[in-house]
Amino acid sequence: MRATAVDAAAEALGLHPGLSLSDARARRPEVEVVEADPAGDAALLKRMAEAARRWSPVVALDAPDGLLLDVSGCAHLWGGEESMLADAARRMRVLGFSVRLGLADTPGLAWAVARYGERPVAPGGARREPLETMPTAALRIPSETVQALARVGVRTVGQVMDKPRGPLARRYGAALLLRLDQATGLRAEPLKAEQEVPPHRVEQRLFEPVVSEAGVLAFVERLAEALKARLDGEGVGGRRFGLELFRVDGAVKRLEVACSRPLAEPRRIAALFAERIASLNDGLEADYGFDVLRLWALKVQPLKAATGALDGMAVESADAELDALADRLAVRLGDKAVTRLKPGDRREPERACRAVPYAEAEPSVASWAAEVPAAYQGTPLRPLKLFRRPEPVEAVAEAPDGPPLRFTWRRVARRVAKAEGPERIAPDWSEGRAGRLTRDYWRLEDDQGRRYWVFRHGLYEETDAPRWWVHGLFP
Amino acid sequence: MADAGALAALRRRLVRDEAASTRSGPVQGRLKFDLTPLDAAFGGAGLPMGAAHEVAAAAAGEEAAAFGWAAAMLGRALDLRPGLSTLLVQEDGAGRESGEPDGPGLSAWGVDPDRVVATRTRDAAETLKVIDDALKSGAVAAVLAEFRQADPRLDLTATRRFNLAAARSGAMALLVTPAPAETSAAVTRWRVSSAPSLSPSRGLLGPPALRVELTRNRYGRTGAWTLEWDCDERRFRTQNAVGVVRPVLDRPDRPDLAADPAPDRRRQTG
Repeated sequence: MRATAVDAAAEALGLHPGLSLSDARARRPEVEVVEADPAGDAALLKRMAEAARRWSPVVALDAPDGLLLDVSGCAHLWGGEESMLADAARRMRVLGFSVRLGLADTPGLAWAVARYGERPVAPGGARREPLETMPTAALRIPSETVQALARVGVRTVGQVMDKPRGPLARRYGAALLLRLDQATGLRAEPLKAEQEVPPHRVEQRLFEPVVSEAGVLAFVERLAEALKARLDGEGVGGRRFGLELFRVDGAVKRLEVACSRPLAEPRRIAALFAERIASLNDGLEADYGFDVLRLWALKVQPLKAATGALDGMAVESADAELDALADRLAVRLGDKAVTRLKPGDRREPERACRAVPYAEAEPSVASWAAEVPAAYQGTPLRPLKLFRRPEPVEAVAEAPDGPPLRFTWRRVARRVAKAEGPERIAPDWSEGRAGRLTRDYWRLEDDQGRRYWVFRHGLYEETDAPRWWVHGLFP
Repeated sequence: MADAGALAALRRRLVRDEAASTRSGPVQGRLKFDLTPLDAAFGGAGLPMGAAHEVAAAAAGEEAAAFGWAAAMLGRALDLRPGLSTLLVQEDGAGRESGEPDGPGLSAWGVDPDRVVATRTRDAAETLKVIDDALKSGAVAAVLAEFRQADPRLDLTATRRFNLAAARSGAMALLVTPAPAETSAAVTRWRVSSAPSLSPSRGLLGPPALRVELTRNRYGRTGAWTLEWDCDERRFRTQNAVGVVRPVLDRPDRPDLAADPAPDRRRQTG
């Protein structure tokens, strides 16, 4: 067993990573040993990456102990690169981490500056100078290569740069030159961001953390106004919006809302988030407050140009109001709880009418009239209320193929006064008939005038003991 | 005393305000049933849209009948406000209890399923909030909410709120409950149960019949009627009117005549 990491106190005693456990114990019997937990470390790094999204949305993991952030276009929000790094250092220290920070033009150079640099910020444009005096390990190369270079007297990156490239590649592998070129920006090194980064985002940094819900919503509306300017520029609206709230202690609250049509209206976006926040079980959990707010348009769609027809105006605005209402309700009750009824294009009664989530509902293609005739000679053929799952009944029929004379449903015996039927509904041939039975539907009226839609499940040639079910109620 | 004068002034103001509160607001159209005895109960003017109406099942097991009456009123409301949709609100449990509204069935009761937005709520408190929001939004012609049980939260305060919101937007609130609420500010309160149809044959159901009792009416008389729904005409008929005509032709030995007297006439002329 070997030490994988040592803390500051152990380092002061002369212990270092790579030392075997028995060796360490022999030197210092009092050392405290904790088993390494690589999975736990990785999880912690992930959580740190979450928290680091406050400085930039593009965060890549640099396992086992590093994070790479693309801060292009972010630093000005923090008053410059220096103060952004200062903020990061202070926050990480408060949370109990010791960090080294580096900021440079390329990820490779930033990596080197963080570990071997004298000052954390490498001046923009200077890519070779900061590296020249650094040891070769700053190039992110395996330790064997570092040792092999040391054997021939090459100890600094500057010395590597001076050597002819051909022999270097032949002797130490292409990886050395790749790393060198990445650090100096001759070759690109895209960051593999932890999370997808949609292009439309706006953010707001606050000097005084916002604690109240109303305060957060006010900022959301302001952010939405800024976002609208961007969306308008491209002629799109958002179908899904995300809100990230960064709490002062590093926790991140993430909320999402969706809407049924492309949306750019700031007030409506804020209203959706108000619903979303109201539906949270624990509220916002603002505690000490949020100091960075970021609003995303996660999914965008082209906005339809408003139709100019004069007579169509009233209908258009009514539709927009209905959309707004449905969106608000969908955020509060859940997407699946707000639906439109659509013809199911199926014979089975439970599938003849589909409840489609409002946001997904397209204008009907199949029409209701093309479905089963709803009425015959002034009498409805389909129940007004349908049970999603038919309920079993005990029925006594006069003839095997006839309607029930009496039946018991929900423990109440009902006497059948009138019966109309049967309407035979066979399982859809296209879906295979194995194990599925034909149903004979009857419309029944009991002696009090209540009407039921019951069916016998199975013909006598299909099953020996067909059962009866009630599937719906007529008024 | 000055008090008496002030009191009289207050009384006058109360009368004026109350009249204003029932008449003013965008009450877009009044809902008529196209049925003389029923419309007469509302002085022939029909019942105002922008208000809350309670439709209760007269007994346990009559929830479907109550829903049918409310659906028929809803269909009329949609006719009055073309271009607007309607919101159906159902509590989660209510669907299991008495079934979920079905598209083909709704269209048979005069409600175009394409103009329906159906929502499910977790409890009565949420239902009340959804009704309130929908009435205020002005985006719907009517809201039909079905409660799972007569809920104490659907009280005077809640219904008064609905009345105010509805009067402002002109949307109608239909509150369907399994039993009448103890107190309610609903402008009309209906109790509905099924009635046996007058179909002469055991093998033919005939048009569905409802026993409808109007127990409160802020705009006219109360009353009770037995009505038949004609889904081809999309209107109600009084059941006894048909009942008076039919027995004349209804002879036990010739049941076919009662069902359809037309073939007989053809035989005479041709």
